[in-house]
Amino acid sequence: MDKTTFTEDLENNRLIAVRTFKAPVEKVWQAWSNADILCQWWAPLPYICKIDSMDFKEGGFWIYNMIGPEGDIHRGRMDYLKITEFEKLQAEDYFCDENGEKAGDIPPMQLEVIFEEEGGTTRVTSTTTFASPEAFKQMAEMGAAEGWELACNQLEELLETLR
Amino acid sequence: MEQRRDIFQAIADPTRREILSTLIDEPKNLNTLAEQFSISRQGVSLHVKVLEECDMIAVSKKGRERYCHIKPEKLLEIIEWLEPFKQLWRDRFDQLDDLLKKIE
Repeated sequence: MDKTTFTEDLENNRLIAVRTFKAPVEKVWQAWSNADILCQWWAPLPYICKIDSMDFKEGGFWIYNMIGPEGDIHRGRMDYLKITEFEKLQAEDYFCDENGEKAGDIPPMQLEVIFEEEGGTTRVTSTTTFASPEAFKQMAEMGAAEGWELACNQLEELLETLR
Repeated sequence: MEQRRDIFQAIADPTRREILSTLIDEPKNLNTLAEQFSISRQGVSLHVKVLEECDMIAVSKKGRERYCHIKPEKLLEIIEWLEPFKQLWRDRFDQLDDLLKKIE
């Protein structure tokens, strides 16, 4: 079973993604801490990732370019807030300009990644916490509300028939 | 002053969520709908009006009756708003998985 599973924690503005990899934690950790490896999987296809600079330590940051098939470039920056080797890293991820300053309409997202080794496999739990615009709060209320989940299930069935 | 209505305003209220749930089953005329709720008919009408303004439902007249229908494409927005973020992590983890196999 090597699929990504998700938890939508709307009350806390969080999306949690969990995936187990068939590799020891040292190796999976490298995929986050080594710039050359990181850039090989960070950008979703068809984008490619090019590292501008990386300083993997607390207080350090990573600046990367996501280059699209049309040559469009999106510059991203990740500030490393806390790093516990082979266990956990906390960072802030956002879009930036040429000078590394925050740019664009999308507010920064907080990222927490937890690594847990279990019998030669490593479970990675990545939690993205979004800024809380008004809309998100209302969605959180919705998520907690009784009856809504049921409505969504029914709705999904309905939408299946419409597709 | 007219406030801009949006989908999140529509679902922020529990009665409105219940109206939507009810209408997902089948379109209903306003009277039938109002009977299902303990609040006044005027109260239900007001919620219906908000939902209509938010473009979550449509109200059509049939003779003297007013029928309320759900507009599913709007509701889809709520369910799918997180989808791009999910897809991002799905893609990343798939690529990482492939990569880890390669560097073995």
